[in-house]
Amino acid sequence: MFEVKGIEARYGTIQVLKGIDLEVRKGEIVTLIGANGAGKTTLLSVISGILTPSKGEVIFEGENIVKIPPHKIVRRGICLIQEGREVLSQMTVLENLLMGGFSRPGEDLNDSLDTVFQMFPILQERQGQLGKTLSGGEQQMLALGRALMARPKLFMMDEPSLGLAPKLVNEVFAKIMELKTADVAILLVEQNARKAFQVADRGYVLEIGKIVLAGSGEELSSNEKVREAYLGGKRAKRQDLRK
Amino acid sequence: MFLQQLVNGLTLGSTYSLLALGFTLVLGLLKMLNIAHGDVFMFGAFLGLSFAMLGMPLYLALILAMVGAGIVTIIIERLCFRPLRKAHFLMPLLSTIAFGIVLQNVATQIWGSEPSRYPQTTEIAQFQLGPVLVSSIDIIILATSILLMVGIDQFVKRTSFGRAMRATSEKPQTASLLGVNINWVIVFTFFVSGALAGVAGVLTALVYLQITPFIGIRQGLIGMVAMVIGGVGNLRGAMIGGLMIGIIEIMNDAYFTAGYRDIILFGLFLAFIVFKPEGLFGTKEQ
Ligand SMILES: Nc1ncnc2c1ncn2[C@@H]1O[C@H](COP(=O)(O)OP(=O)(O)OP(=O)(O)O)[C@@H](O)[C@H]1O
Ligand SMILES: [Mg+2]
Repeated sequence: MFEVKGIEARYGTIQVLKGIDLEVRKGEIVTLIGANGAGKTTLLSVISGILTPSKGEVIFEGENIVKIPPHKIVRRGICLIQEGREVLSQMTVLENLLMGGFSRPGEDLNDSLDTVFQMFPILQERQGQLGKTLSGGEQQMLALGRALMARPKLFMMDEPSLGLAPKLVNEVFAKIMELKTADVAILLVEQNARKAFQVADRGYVLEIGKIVLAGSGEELSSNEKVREAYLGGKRAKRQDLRK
Repeated sequence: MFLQQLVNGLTLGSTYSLLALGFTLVLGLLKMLNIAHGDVFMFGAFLGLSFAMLGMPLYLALILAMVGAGIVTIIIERLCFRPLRKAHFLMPLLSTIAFGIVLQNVATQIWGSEPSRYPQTTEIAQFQLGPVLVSSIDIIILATSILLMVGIDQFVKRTSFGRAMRATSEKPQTASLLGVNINWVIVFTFFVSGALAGVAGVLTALVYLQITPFIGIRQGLIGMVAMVIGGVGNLRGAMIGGLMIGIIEIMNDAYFTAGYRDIILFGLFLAFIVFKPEGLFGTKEQ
């Protein structure tokens, strides 16, 4: 249902993505791991419509969406939770959630609100509080809840565990597992490869703009090179993976 | 006497509030200053004059002048802001100065540089409320201003589109990822800003009964003073700032000499910019 084909992207003269192929099917959690600066966020920007690629296609439900602006892409059912959560700090928790439903004009949002509050009771408690007053963990929950309000078919998450204490990381990943149902697909970008492989059905490894490895969660986490480079095994040069 | 001046001050101030509100909407959203705002005010006043001359009732002339001034402001967005979004922040400042001067000269060509007299559009009735004499014009001005201000305040606060405006103002990229067409929000905000300037123009002309193509310069600056006093980007602050300036201006003229008026107002402006740049109601970070 969702496929990235030969995507190349650049910032000015610097080519950041050098031909990416990737696929996510319904009901799957697919993870994309890679070091700082590999191009993970850039790929999500291309998919969500923020950045126009110089080459390649993004196929969603049979249609190439690369030239469509972000606000229309989310209406089609692709929702990005940005790196750093990007909670609206001057708006209340409730207003943030309502903004999450902005891509569904004219629809009744109360059902979705109930669902979100059931899944994240803390958000119901804090609904009148300004976004900026939430802790990092609560902000991540709000970002997840806000995305849920859009009822997307494809969730994309950019490093949801970033800057969270281990206990909160576990909580966030538990919620991500809860989001997984038969009719949604999840593309999870992470640097915390260990946690990502635990929840993912499949994964890709991105290095300097290219996919260097792909496989199931187990395959990747037992891969010697992945273990060395991303799972805290013996320190290995990252280039080794491309041999 | 004092109460009478207070009412006069509030009436004048409410037109400044409308101007300041339009300023602060655009500045708060785009972090960019529309220097031509005062000239949109002037243009709106002239449009109202022309429609009134055609024999239209006041409310219709007012609405059409609003729409006209709003459209002029959309043109400003297209011409002076949108192409320059990635340019140095001074560029839109310069482009709107140029647009303002063009607008003054267009108005001069259409309506002449001599003061134009506003036609008597409504029967002016006077009401004696205790010691205060209120004219129907005062009531129209106050009622229109209050209605618009409360309406916009509530719109931004409570409606879905108002939330989208605030989201765009804080994080445009995030807003677009949530489904907001930010270009449309920007155009809409500019339109509202211009419409408010247009109404303010017509209402002010009803008080002074004459206008020239050059009134926009001082009015624009006064609107800016009101905005800064209230705290940039703060809608309610802009309204209160406008009312304060109206009262100060009228009190000065009543108890002092008119010659000191702008010394006091712009002295206050300078004092705020230097010592309290966040204004009365803004937060420090703004
Ligand atoms: N707006 C930009 N302009 C210019 N270069 C950019 C821009 N954004 C990212 N880059 C560059 O593109 C490369 C890839 O960046 P990207 O943010 O996609 O990496 P990432 O894999 O998400 O890294 P991280 O794990 O640190 O978030 C980096 O070298 C970065 O410096
Ligand atoms: Mg990133």
